[in-house]
Amino acid sequence: MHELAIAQALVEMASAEAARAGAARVTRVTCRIGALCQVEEAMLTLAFESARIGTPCANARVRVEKSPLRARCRTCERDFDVLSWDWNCPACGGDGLVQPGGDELELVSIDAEVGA
Amino acid sequence: MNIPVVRKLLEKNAAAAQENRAWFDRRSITCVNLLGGPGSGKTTLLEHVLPRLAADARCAVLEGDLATTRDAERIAAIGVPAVQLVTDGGCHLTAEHVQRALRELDAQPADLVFIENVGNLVCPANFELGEHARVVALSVAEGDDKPAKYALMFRRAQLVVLTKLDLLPLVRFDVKRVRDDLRRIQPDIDVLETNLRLPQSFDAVTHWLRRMHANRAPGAKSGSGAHLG
Repeated sequence: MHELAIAQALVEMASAEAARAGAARVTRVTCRIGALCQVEEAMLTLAFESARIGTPCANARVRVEKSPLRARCRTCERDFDVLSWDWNCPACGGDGLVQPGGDELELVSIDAEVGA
Repeated sequence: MNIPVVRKLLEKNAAAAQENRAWFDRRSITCVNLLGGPGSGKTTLLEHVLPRLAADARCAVLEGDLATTRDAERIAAIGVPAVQLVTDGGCHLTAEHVQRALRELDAQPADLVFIENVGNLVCPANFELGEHARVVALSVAEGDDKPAKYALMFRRAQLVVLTKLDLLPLVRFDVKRVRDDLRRIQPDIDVLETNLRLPQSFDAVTHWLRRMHANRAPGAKSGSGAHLG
């Protein structure tokens, strides 16, 4: 259940960023999560809904931008997403070499409202 | 209004891990985060490797577990100082858990500190503890699909130890497939095999750890060695 730790971090960070910007309420929290992190979106939403209670994020929704695992074809040098552990280039069938990324866990932005 | 932020969600843990790493560095200690699923042979690996290391390195172990002090007792039984960290159901160790245990370690001078993480191939992968290297134990009884299914765990490892090779005739486990999958996700990864019927198979793991520690020593040409990126 690392989703709970992630949701708590999201709420804490988004609330702090809203305060810094002089906003009273957070309406949406956008995060980027790599495919390798095995964060289940439904589980994260559930965890977020319990973590947000009594905070400036109390009515905020969470939006997840998924970041795929990427590989570069050793033959045609094209980059592609590795889906279902398929390392063959969709363009030429060549073998893919793993690229950095796909393991992000980041708060990307918040939508917030000023006023009481 | 939309406010762009871009902050790492686990930055608090990362900051604590950085403090832990500095704590180890000040004492010239090499810290190894030992990971793997429940029953993958992490404690058994330590039981075989620690006596071999004892000749030229002082070792200590932090034992992370959901419950019980059994693993710490196993380590203490071979004469190596062990501190048990019970997470009370928590599925992974955090850098803060380790921070609390470091105070207890201060009385035990060590060259190498092993942190045996909670048995779990998912959650611990996300939480750095301040280690200089990650070692993952994977037993042949767990199946050869694990690197593809739990890719993050293996991507962040410097060494994978395939354990219980003595059981290979009894289970379906394609060693070549596992080695191929490990290289896919981490081209620089080292892979070793241990077998309880071939005690010398543990020598290679001992050698790897010794070399990693030596490469971190001041003046070593490769500097910080297997430092996590």
